[in-house]
Amino acid sequence: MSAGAPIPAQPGRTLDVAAVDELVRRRARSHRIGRWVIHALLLILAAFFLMPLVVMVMTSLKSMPEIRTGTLLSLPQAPNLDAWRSAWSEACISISCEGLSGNFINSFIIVIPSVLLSVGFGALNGYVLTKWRFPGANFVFGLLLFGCFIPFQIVLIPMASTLGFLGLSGSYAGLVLVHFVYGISFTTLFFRNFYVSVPDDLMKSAKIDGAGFWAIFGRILLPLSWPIVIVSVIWQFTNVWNDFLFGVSFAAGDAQPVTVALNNLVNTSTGVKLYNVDMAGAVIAALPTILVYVVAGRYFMRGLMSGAVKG
Amino acid sequence: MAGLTIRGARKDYGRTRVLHEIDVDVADGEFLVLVGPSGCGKSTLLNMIAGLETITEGSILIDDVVVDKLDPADRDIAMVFQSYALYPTMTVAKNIAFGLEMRGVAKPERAAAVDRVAKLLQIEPLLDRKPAQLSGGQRQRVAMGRALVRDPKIFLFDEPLSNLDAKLRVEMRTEIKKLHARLGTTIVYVTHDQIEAMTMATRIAVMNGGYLQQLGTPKQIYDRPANVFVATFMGSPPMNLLPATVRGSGEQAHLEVALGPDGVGGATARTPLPPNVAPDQVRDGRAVLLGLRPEWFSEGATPPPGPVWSFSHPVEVTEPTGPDVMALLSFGEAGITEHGNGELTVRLDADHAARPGDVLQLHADLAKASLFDAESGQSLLLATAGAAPGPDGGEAAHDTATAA
Amino acid sequence: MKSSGRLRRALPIAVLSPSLLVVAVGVYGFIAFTVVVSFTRAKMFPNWDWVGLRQYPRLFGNSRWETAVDNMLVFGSLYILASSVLGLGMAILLDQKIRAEGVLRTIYLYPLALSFIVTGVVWQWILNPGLGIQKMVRSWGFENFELRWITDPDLAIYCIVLAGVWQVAGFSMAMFLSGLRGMNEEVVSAARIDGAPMWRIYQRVIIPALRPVFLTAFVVQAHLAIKSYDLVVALTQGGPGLATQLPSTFMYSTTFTRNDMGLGAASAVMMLLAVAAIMVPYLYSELRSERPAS
Repeated sequence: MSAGAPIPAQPGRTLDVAAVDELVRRRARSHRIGRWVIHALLLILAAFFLMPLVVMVMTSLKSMPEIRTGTLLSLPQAPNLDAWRSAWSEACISISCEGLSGNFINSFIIVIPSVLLSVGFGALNGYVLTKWRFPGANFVFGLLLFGCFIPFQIVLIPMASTLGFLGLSGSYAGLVLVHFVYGISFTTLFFRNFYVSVPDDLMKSAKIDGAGFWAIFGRILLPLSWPIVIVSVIWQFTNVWNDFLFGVSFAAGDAQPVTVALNNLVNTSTGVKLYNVDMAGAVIAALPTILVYVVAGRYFMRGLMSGAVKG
Repeated sequence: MAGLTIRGARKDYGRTRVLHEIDVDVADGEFLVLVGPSGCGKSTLLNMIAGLETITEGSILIDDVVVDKLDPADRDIAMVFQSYALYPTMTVAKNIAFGLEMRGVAKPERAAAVDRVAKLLQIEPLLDRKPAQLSGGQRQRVAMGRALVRDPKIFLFDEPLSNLDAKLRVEMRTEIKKLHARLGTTIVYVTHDQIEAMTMATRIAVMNGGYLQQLGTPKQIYDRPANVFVATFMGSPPMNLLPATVRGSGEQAHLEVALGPDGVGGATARTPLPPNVAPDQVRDGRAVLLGLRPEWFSEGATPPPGPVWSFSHPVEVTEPTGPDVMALLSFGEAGITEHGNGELTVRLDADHAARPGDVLQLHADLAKASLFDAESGQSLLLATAGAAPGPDGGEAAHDTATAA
Repeated sequence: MKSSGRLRRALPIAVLSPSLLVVAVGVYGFIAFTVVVSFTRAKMFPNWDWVGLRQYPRLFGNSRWETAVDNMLVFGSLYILASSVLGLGMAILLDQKIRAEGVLRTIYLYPLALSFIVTGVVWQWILNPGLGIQKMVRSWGFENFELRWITDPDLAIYCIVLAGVWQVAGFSMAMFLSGLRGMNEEVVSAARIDGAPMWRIYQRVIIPALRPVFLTAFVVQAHLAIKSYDLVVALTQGGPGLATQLPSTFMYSTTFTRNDMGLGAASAVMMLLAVAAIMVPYLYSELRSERPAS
């Protein structure tokens, strides 16, 4: 059995020094061109993504006449914070003319307890589901997980009724409860996936050492949970701060979060449209979550990825 | 088929030098094995030959053409990877034909080539399957088929057998060797397994810490290791290294070997120098290591002919391995070096009835023995073939390629 | 110590119970509630005038709902397609050993940190017919340039697509990038040795191997598309007219503005079914392949 005839001569077989040199030169040139194209594309994309942010900030620093005579990307001639002042404390939103400051604070009042509650319980749930297995634990996890996926329109009607029934309509507590209910699925998912990779042997040796349920959680698991705690906090903070649907459905007047107020400012106010004030309002509403992102972007990413990869 | 020349090759990653001055000449049709522990640079060197890594200094020539600036695709080489690296979404047939397709070979010729190679490697029934449906051994054959079908000048193998179980590994080793014999291709093969190196290579390049330690035939490497690293890395169990001191000079020179507290007849033994020691290396008081492989000892009342070192010593532990019995003798604290824990391993006949505590009458064959400088680890024997300067300098015979 | 044993076993369940209770009621209970309401003739408040399935044909015959569903299909498919392709492209570009990768990734991803309201409000300004992009491009010399999509009933939906893709493309980029980075590098090396130019390697080897990522990206983005509400409200308020009405805005306006709760509930149920149709098969296959023995 012979090895078979060799494949007939193919293009690409290097033969002599001259051919090699030419090949090297050609490859190097197309490689250089390739790099330029790649960098150009990346820059164009960066411009695309940055443009709205730049426009938002620049517009908020301009005066209305300037906006009318200039264009989107023309630099502010005399940048000033008047629009910011107006958006913060003077702008008229629906009936009152006190700007977004109150709503901004409302958002914090709503977000902080929601985050604490859902992250706290999420950690406990993750702990129980992974380290204290009972028959049906995975099923229970699946049941909890489902809450991540529902379109929230499906719960608006009963939630409105329930909040009314509990006397929490339109209040901060009502919204905190709502965000807890629909945030617990995500935080449980994060902690459960994190704790799954903590070796069970750690648990066993702790039990042998006599540690009980709370001791194991507090002294062993929590200290090594900081990465996922940060991820969960950032995720919940961002989601609750950015929420609109629940805010507009269940918060009334003075208790409305800043997203609802911004929408009212821009889309339901009457009279002349003040684009600089609108943009200043947008900046105010966006600032906290952007700051969190800039400071802790890595954890933000991790939350995104684990939320998606595990369904 | 072609020759490969590596001349003064160096590789730096930033400020770390990963490969130092590698010079290797591979003749057409040779099977060169690069062997060494993890991190020694063998895979880096292979990737440089392939063009997957750039070369910092030096040059690589395939068939006397300098290729270091060429893309892998233009070097006319093929490579088999440790993970086989089959294209997961293509069938076996498409996997094998991919390289031909990229070079513009027409469909009928591609199909014929695939069939030829499939027949050679006995993978015809697998042609329509996807890699995920194949076993490890089958994937390995497909990877080899992909390399063979292009009939390149040089075949590169990067630890292709590491992911197979022991039995399959032995089978595939023989297959690759047979393929080489039949096709006469030039092969550069990387492995960390010294048995693979010994059984498959026509020549072996032993590497450590980015340096070429020794280049030679398996027999040269085994019988005349250029330094202590090669001596202990190649061969299993490793070569025994006994600390000793040179005493006297010239014709009267001899060795004083420390036998430790169990030594019959004293703590040290006196033995003539191995005959192959280079005369200018003999200096009174020099600390050396006497290298003796386990199978270079005989046991019994009468010493065999030739230069021998005879001594008696009690057995500490015996290890029957099946084909033989390994007897371990303790040389105590005196025998402990960075290369061993003061134990001498001696190979005895499988039927030998030695028990712990028995005193054996041993004769070491000095004609085969090696002698190393205790500090530098370099061999002190005459003209050790193919050795290259190690990190500590030191001398050895070296076939230098003519500078470019 | 018998009681402590029982207590110990009950403790895990006890700890889970607040969440379980809250989810049982807030998710499953409420879904059931809404389904039941969709079977009634509720107007401004839930009532129990049972009408069976009658709200559903009423829904399907409703022209506003039809428009909303049409818009959803156009928006959804463009949105998913555009952000997947853009995300893949960005991931491939970033995978080319770019020195500024960290900075670029931060730039591509920050929109995800914004509320859809902020996005809608800013893009509304950018797409302003008189003062936005149109004016800017004209000032560059293209005097006949027109970009009045936002006021054009036929084109307004593309504004939503544009803003939505801008916000979310970074996410699919992140997914594809991690898929690219998780690939066996040796397969790419093998393709290089086989003589394939880099673009061919992407086309024949790398992108086909990313199939699972495409699937996940599709599922997540389809889910986001169906839930889209904030963006539409802020950008176009569902207008002009009904041009950008989506099922989510239909549900809200039908229930809370037009006080036709039964119909609104039916539309919410339809939204749920759409999401379930995508997620349930996906989750089922994922969970099955993940847990062979547990």
